[in-house]
Amino acid sequence: MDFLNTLEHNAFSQWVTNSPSAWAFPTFLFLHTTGMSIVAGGSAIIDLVLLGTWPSLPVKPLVRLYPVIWVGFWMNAITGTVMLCADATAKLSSPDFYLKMVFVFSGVYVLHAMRKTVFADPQLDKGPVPRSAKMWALASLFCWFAAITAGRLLAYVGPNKGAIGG
Amino acid sequence: MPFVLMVILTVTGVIALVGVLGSLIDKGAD
Amino acid sequence: MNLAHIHLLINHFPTIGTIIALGLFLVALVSKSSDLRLASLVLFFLISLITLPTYMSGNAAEEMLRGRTGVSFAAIEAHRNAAQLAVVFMELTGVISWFGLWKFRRQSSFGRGTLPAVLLLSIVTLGVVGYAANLGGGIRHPEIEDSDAKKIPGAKKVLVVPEQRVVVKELEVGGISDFVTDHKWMWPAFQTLHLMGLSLIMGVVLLIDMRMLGVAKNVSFRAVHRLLPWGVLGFSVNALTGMLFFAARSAQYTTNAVFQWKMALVILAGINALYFTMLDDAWTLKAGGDASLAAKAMASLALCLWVAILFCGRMLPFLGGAF
Repeated sequence: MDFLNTLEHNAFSQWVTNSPSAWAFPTFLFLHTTGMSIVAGGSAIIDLVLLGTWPSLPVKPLVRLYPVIWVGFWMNAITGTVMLCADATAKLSSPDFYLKMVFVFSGVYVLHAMRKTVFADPQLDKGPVPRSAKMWALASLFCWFAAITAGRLLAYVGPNKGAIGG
Repeated sequence: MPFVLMVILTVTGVIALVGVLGSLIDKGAD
Repeated sequence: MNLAHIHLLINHFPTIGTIIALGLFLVALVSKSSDLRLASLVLFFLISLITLPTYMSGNAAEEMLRGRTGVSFAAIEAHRNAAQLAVVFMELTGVISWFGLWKFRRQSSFGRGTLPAVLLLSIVTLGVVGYAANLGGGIRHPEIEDSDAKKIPGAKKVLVVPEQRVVVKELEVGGISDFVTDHKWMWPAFQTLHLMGLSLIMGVVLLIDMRMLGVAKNVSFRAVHRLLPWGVLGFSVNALTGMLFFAARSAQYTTNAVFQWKMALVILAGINALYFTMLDDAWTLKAGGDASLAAKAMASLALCLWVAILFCGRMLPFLGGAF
């Protein structure tokens, strides 16, 4: 598509891809990795506590992780879009990229659902963790770790394998 | 604001920003 | 001072250090003193941290010795193989020791199998370390060369004859390096595990910081402390995958300044972790309480250290002239 080509050959995108400066592609990649660790790490903590058998560890306070997780998410939405622009034609014709997006947005949906069901439950921390909550936690772990895998593989599969940062 | 809308706005916004920054770089390079 | 020099210096920690730590540990077991037991476990943990740069500087020393006369490369390879095994046992000892420290903080006891496990592991570690160290002596000590040089087991290639200048080819022979080359999916698979490990670490650090810096005050630190083993699990996964990366392609790491920084920061972060594992300052923080300045500083430091470590790791292909 012409639009994608324009995006890629835009002077800014060219700077991101081709500049030898550490502030270009490497910095976006670094910020993206940091955001990933916040999102995956933060939700992993929530998930592990829900799945774990530690009756004296309250789940409710962990809801405070949500704002931090969202910060990580938006960091990645922004840095991810920039990096996507810089490699638009290759990424958008890579099945792995779409797979990653499916897992990312599934993970977001699960986090959102957990907020609305598990954390809104008035019985939370008053009894054992309900099985449905554990199912959500498993789904969340799966989504984020699948997203990480799909993301890491982007440097190895698809049209631009072997590209920088692999 | 619904989440999906926020994502669409963010992505569109970043792409627009990329375009603006690109043309600024082009102008500066002349 | 170069990396080879550093290796000769710090290799005393995994060797003499382990002897001392084990000696102290035996005294501690006999005397039934909790303080001595804690001290020995801390020693084992710290030694396991410094064992990592010891191994890596050893690799650098190997690279520096290429093409030299009077050096037995068969001895180097045997020493390195034994050292790899020693590192595995040393890290195991370190992890179990950390677990003992964590358990003691929570329950004033070390947990049923912990001390026996540390005893067994540290004895095996000392044995393998001693064996590796002895082989190391055979590399460039002419006074013992004659008796030991012929008895080097497991050395796959004898590449250099002393008194002859021979061009030595790539020394990452066999084992892990070939395996990674032959199985192209290994590297991305282990990188993915490395990312998962770092996410676990970051999650725990975020939780600690949220508590200490006042964002989530309604939980006692004891509850947060419960989750530390997950952070250590992440750390262990990363140490393991990291050692694999290093063993398979050491040339792109040993002289890479960014990587050296990363390792230095990892050691600092390990020591920082001890603070939250053991010390009263953090432990006594109740739900609703305000953390002390020291605890806040250590929590902020943890976040800075780990983000810096992530930065160094992500920048490895771009800065420091690697890859």
